[in-house]
Amino acid sequence: MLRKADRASLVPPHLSEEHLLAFLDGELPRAELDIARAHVDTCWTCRSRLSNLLAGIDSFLASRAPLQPDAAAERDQRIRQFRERLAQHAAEVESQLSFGQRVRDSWMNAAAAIRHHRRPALAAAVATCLLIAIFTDVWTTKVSAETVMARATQYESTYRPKPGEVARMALRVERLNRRTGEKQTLGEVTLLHDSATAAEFISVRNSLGQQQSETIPNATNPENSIAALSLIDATLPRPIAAYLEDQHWQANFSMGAFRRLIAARGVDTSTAERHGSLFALHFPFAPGHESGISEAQLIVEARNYAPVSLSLFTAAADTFEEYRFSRTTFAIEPRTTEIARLFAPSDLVRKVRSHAAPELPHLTPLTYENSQASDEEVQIAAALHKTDACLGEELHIFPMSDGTLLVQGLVDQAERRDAIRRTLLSVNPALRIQIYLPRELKSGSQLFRSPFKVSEPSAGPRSAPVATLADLSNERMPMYEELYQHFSRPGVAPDEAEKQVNAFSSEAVTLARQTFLHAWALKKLDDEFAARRTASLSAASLPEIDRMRKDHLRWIATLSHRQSDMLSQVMHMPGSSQALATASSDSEALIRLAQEQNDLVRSLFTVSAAAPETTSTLSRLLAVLHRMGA
Amino acid sequence: MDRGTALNLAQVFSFEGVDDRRRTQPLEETIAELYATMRVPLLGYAYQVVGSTGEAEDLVQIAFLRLFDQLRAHAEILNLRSWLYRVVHNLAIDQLRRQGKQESAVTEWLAQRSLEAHSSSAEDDLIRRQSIAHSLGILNVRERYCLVLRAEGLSYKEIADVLSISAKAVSVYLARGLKKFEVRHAPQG
Repeated sequence: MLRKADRASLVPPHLSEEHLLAFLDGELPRAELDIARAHVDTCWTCRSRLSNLLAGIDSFLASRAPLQPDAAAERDQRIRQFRERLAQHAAEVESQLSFGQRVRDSWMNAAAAIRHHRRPALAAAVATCLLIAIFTDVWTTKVSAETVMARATQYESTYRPKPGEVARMALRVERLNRRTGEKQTLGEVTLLHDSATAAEFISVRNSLGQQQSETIPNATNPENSIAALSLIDATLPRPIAAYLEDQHWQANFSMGAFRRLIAARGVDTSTAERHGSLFALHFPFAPGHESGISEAQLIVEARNYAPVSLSLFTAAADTFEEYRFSRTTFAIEPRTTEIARLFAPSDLVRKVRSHAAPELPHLTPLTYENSQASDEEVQIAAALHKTDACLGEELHIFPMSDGTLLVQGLVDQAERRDAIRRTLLSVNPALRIQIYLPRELKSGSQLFRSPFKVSEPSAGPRSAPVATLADLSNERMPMYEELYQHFSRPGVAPDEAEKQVNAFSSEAVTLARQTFLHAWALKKLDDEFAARRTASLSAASLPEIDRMRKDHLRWIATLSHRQSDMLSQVMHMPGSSQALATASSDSEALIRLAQEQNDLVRSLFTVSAAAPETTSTLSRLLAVLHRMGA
Repeated sequence: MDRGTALNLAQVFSFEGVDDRRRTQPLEETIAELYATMRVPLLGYAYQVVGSTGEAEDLVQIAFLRLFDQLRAHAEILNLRSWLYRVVHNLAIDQLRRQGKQESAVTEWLAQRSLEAHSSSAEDDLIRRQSIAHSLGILNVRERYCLVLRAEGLSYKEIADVLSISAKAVSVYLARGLKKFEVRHAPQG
């Protein structure tokens, strides 16, 4: 009498509709393809269904035939029309771009062209220089930036609030990536300008929702430092923020502030051009200016010289960013008592602060070399350790220049982030945490460089491609034959054996990777809490670090054992002659061994271009595992 | 089909290919070449979504203008073909929404057209055409998009990219869509 399981394997199930179609479409992974082909070869039902599918494809295509637009008829005409449209579009794009962007673009294109045509390029360059020399004075006949600025200053005095009124202005701060066109709002600033006093009320909200307000008793004094602006400054690149601070720039669109902003740019050329109803004033900065700014650009209305926006362009090697301050509203309002209270002369340096909005000075991460570990850092490391966030997740604890800590990095999923955040906040509710999901990263600049010197594991554990037989590939992994022989015992169906081979190899790969991640985490721990950084730690912290180390060591040993067991279960290996080698607990040595076993396992159990000789590779792997696990 | 353009495909489908070309010729020229190559298949797809030749032509051109902007900004595009189909698809859907049209209304209209388009009057052909038109009419839009894209030669993965769904879902839609055709025609075929 047959048992149920046996009967099931004697009558393999028919292929599903999707499987059949994927089979026809060549979209089945290799392993499934073999099974499907074997089945179709023997099964009349499925073969008949296949031909039905083909008939379905035929009639779908037949339904489509009359619905194809008659595209060929006017092909040439359409292409000509598109060329014209494209040329027009290109010209429009060109005219909208900033001066700096255009220079950069043409430089990139020119550099590429020069590589191809060196000589003509040289000749062209000489000719261009000559032309420039001849026609330079033609340019100066255009309206000068200075003239426009002088008129804009007049605009300011015309729109000053009269007694009994205040002027309200709101501006938005944005970061634009010139390469991708992405736009991100960094914050908003609201300014109230008093008529009765020289005071100004400023309220700043950043993109995190933090808000800070402040009254400046004498807004005309450029020496005022406006603490509230630090909320915005903190979102700007440090050199830019530092430069703005040095120049006592105020985010109020006054020409005075703008003149201070461009005063120290190192060159004194400027251009102005009119684009429709707007004037664009370009103020290039000296190449390699310490602020990282390549150009400041002021846009004013051509009609009345009202300010529209102020942009700062950066030209670092890899980022073309624009920081844009746009005036979103401007209104003259009655000076109500409520508003008057904001300008109250009593309590001159009064600062109205919303609920504990943290001040964000310019912080930089310190390196492990020039900082000391604190007890808190150990506690946070332990918390990360507890959630396994130390295993290959790109999270780092950064000791910051103000002595605080920042946990920053990337995780794959929002739930994972929440869990990590909860754990961290239970250690210190005020800890600064910046954990992003990959899709939230606008540019690499949001993340600090890892303080840990050893390169990251190539990918996070969940995203690690565990390439086994199930992958789209025609190749087989080197160990396939051995494993298949081992698993195909009498009474085991071929596809069952194949499944076991797959399960075995993916487990081997997973174990190897886990082992490597533990070795990596251990190395990271040793780097972070090296002896020179731990001098000032409390008595409780050192055992905590040791506990984490032991944890990783134990895992490395356990995982290596499990791997050795798995391998010796299926292989007939001669007893390893290297069995006497001593186990290592030195993280430097361990990570090298772990890297090697990971590479060896991948070479044996995944499909790769280079097929190693299996016997010697296996014995090497066992030796390595033995050294790690003893 | 135009043999000459078909030969070009391999050259222009990789982003690197386009990137290389732009070093030796103006970007506008590369875009215009790509447009000449890809116009017909993209047009076929756009037409299936919006149901109007004039609009489809316009959408395809806009997609290439977008491509120009992207390449001009030195943005990287991994799979040019699925990128173009995706942009055309999204433009087409936006267009329908702006006009307040249902995507499924286009399906019915196309089914009607498919029925009327033939000029042959043979009796059995008429029955066959009616049944094809019926099948086309009962496809849901996802099934229809998947089938049309597959008929254009896109892989499941590429279709998944275009429609922002999973490759698994693509295979389900395809199988389900074909089933609707198969049921009605298998006995006759």
